[in-house]
Amino acid sequence: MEFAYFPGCVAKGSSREVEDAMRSVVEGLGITLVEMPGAACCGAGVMKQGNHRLQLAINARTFAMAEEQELDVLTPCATCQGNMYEDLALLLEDEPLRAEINDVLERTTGMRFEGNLRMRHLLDVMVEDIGLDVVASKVVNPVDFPIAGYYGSPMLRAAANGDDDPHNPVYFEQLITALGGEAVEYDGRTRSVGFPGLLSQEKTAMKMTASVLAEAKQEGAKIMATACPLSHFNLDVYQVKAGRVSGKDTSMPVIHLPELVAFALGYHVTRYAQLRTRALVIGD
Amino acid sequence: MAQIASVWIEEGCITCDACQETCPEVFHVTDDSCFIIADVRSDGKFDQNESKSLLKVESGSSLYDDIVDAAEGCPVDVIIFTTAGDGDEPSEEAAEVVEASVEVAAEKKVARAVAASGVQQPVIEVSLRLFRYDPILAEKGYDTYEVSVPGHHSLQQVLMNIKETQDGTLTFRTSASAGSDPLTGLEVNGNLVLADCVRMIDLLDSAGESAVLTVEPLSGHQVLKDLFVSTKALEVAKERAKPWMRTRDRPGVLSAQGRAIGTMSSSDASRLHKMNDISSEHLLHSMSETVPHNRSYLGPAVCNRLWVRANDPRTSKECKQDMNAVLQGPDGIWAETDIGVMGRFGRLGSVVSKNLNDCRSELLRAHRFAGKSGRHVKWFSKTVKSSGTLNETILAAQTMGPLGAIANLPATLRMALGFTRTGGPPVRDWQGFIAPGKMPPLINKSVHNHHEVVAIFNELDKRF
Repeated sequence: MEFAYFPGCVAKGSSREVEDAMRSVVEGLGITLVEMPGAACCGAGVMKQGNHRLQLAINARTFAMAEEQELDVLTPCATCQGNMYEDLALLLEDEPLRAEINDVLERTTGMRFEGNLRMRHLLDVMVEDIGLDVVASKVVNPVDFPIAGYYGSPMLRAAANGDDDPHNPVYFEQLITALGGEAVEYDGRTRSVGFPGLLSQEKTAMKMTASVLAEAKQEGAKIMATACPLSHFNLDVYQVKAGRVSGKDTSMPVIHLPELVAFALGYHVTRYAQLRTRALVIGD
Repeated sequence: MAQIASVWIEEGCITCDACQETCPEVFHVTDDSCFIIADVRSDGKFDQNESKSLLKVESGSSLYDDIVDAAEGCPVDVIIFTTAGDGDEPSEEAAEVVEASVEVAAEKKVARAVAASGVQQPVIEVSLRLFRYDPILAEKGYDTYEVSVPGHHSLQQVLMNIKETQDGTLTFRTSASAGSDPLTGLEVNGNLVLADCVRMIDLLDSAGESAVLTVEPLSGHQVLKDLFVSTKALEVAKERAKPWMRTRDRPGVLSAQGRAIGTMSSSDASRLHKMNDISSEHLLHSMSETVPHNRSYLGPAVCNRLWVRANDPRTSKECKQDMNAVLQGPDGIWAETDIGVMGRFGRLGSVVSKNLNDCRSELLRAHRFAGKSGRHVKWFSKTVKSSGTLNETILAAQTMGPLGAIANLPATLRMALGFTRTGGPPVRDWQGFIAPGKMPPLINKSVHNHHEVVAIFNELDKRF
């Protein structure tokens, strides 16, 4: 199973742990990642506010690179997935727009984009392509405690997360169960934590973040795992601030989806031991 | 003595053999349809008898009961017959039988067409988990009802049925006629629907194998009782924003009735209709996940209405300026933390998501990327241009400014110390300033063929 790899800027920047874990996950599950060293930032839905055509052209360039290799694109980031999935769908649907963007692409890079590829998130690939039974059979260290899965709202739109229902998704919970864990049911798993407004509407974003964390905790989660490294900023780095702004109990270890899978597959045992100690022994 | 004058087969035979088993003297089922046997017909042909040729008198008389039985037993009612009395003219009773036979066949034909078109759906079993709130006792929770309903019934019909037969205290909004009331919005398994026009079968399809539908009131509105919400929040937001039309003078024409009416180009009209194709502002208000956490925010419905008005060629210049000022203001469109969320809600969500993004683009242009939100977009794009990837350090510093950075010191320290509970070595995170770590790098490494990214920026937008 081979994919063109789009890690997203954060996995190569402040969340190197995503990148570390991804390497372990793909090794454990038999996925081959083909690098795209020229791929640029997807725009994260921010750049399109300034100029959507600009974001489309940048993403079309990435699509063209993957097409050249005749591969679908795989990303561990829900924001990249949602954003690039949406742009890909728009370019496929709107032929005149695609022609216009292709003209720009050809003039500036010599490439053209035809649309013969799919955007895939790691979660969807594990459920639909690899199969949960296969994932379960490779589990070495079951994550045998209550875990709240957080999807990352950008990915929750029609077909962006495979065949999963964007309003009432189940893939993350099924995966947690396959990894030996207990999936915590809570409404916040599909809610936004307001990451796009983190730097400009911080107070509101903090309240949104706190609402998700507090609910997960109230429902019995010991840790949270997120499919979105950008939301991880709010949920992890800003969780103390979120608790202070909202007055809610937000204290909880938050890890990335690839980390959760890597731990269960037997990688990074020291880090997993530290996490278990933090979640199950030290507690709040 | 009554007798069958003529019998024929209409379209739609399913070749089930039932008629042949009941009356093999008259009916013979082929691979495609049922034929009337030549021996009993006066024209001696062997087909469906579309020409309605008469039966031989002796056959029509002796086989009367069998033919009627076969017609009644036909599951798709394609056997039609006429009868005759003792004379040439059919008796009154026989005429009624014929009329009834034709009417029933016609009704069933319509029913078959309806079923084939998907209008009628089979009965489905479903668990409805309804949100309940008692404002007097200030208690809330969920009640579950097991219901068995035709799949084509609307959610509103089912709720009314529960109210009539099981719990008269259940409270929700209803519409006078199906599919017309934008206030009947509810949240079902996380999706937003209008209860008076959404079919149970469609809800069940989205529920997957569980067949459990959790029905809740719309978020972003105050719940008064059970599923019934107040419309006040949205109305107050509208009142504050004043999205009313104040028109400008413009050319007009005289209508055929002699009235002066304004005109608009068809492209403008189409564009406006497309932007304003909103079935329910109440649903739209609920799509925002920011609204419940920022009560002063006007919400996407009001922002969308302002933006549509500001784009209307009939709107006066002053009115457009006022509306843009409200949109750019602290409770306007920048208060929304996550426009992308709305894209989840099908066509309606896509329309408003695009509108609000276009609105932000225009405001950024008009106000030259002013304010934190403007700086956020500007520096995000600038850093992508400079290396091909986002530089988080520069983005945060430029968006928050020096004072903001100081205020954000605890979060920065949390990042720097690697106190993110992932079990990663904290020391490594300090290395971020010179090598990859938890702290993002100060200077990004350029992507391969970075000049292509710069060329795209220069081609499409030189502001960055």
